[in-house]
Amino acid sequence: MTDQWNDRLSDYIDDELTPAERAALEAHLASCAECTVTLDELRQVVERARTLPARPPAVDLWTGIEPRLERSATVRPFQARTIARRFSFTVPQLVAAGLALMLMSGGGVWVLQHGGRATDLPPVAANTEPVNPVAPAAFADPDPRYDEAIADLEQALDAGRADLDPGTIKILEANLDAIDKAIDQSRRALAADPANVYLNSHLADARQRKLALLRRATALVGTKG
Amino acid sequence: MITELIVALTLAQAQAPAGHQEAPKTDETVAVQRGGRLTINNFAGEVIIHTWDKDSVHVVARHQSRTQVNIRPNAAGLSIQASGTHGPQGSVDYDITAPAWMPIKVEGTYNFVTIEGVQGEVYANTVRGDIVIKGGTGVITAKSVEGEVQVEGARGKVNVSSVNEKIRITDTSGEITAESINGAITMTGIESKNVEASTVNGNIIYEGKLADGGRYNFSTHNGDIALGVPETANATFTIRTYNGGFSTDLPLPNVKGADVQRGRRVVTTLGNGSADVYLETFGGAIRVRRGTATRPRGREQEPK
Repeated sequence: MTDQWNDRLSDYIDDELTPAERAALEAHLASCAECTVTLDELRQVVERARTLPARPPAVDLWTGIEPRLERSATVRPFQARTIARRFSFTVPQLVAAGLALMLMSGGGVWVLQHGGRATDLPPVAANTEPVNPVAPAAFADPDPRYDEAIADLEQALDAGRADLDPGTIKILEANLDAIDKAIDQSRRALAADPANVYLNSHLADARQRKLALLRRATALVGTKG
Repeated sequence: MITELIVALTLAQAQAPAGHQEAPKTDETVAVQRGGRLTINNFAGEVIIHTWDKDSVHVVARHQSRTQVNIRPNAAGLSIQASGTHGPQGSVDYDITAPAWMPIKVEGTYNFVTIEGVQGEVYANTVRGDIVIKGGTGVITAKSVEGEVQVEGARGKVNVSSVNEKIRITDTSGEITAESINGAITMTGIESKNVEASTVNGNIIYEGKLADGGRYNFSTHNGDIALGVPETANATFTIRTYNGGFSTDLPLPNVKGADVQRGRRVVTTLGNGSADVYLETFGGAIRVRRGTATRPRGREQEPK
């Protein structure tokens, strides 16, 4: 995630590279899995931004913005300027990018509908996250490696059942079931709110917990646990 | 679970002639060198460890006549393990006195462990048995699948887990990590700059100081989180719940009960906000209270 092409991927998507740069980047992509993955993630974010419905933001931002405009004596006139975009494409930054896109989309529509003015605005402080920030779908997607690890451990545990006390097996199964329920509830919530950062993180934690318990359970095999 | 254990141990004991559990079958004292570790492997029974200031280990073990207790000095220190002279070993109840400085490692399956006063590293791992650790000043690790885990009066780095039962940590200072799945986690009288507790179906209770610059992380899926902290604490609370609610009797600004639902991150500050406190529960409620976490809810109200 740190090579020289990483910062140029958004330019590539926007078709802003010179032909030579474009050719060089495409040659690089052929041999760099990280950049390829990052490019896919960035495309997903862009695609999601395109499909965002035109709706007002969940929080009425204008009530916070308008008084600031009227109070501020140092509001500068809008000046078009070019700001170099710098994407590093870590997951949190992709989330942040998604958040920004969501706010721009929803806020922009609201401002257009309510006659706002274009200007340089001071940042609006908020202490809560929006409910529906745009997060990379990869968070909630199945991870084949994870599924494979779970399957392997479940198979090992099943093969070693005879070595474990039936009472212990019952307890382990009950706890695995509790984790599965937590995973299922998290997934259902995510289905309704796919970009929720907390739910993504919570689901990931629950999945890791299942992995850890299965590892611990399989370690008991052979100890007459 | 306790009933099942009692039945299992009773069955094991019933295989021996009556009266064999009453008299000690092993009573031995072994000199040890400083730096050595005491390792005990007990399949079933109880291990109680006290400490003294002598450089020797005194082992009293009660067991069946067909069970032999092997106390063996080795390169790492001293190892204690039982074996059966005819078939599998039965249960063994140990009462061991060890030097306070001596690191202790106890492992077993149907094994109840109590360790008191050890000033070195402590490691206890059982499948179906409770673990109680009193005192201790080193790295303390206690893991049980089906048993409760209790740590009292420890100072050091505490890492405890129980898959199916509760965890209780009292009057303890130092770095604390506690993890369960179906059990509750209760921490009272804590003085620590780093506490992490997580469970799936249990409640989490924390009563203790929030040290300036400290980091406190509490998460559960279905349980409630209750914190009792001094009003004079300096802490930044980051609060999230999906289906639950939030309430407090502390003067925490900019937070309403509804704000924390649906997984929103709500940040609020007490004092200068020096400590970082993260509170997350998917389906439970979060309560932050003055002083004690467990008093009746009479004065509690949702923040305005």
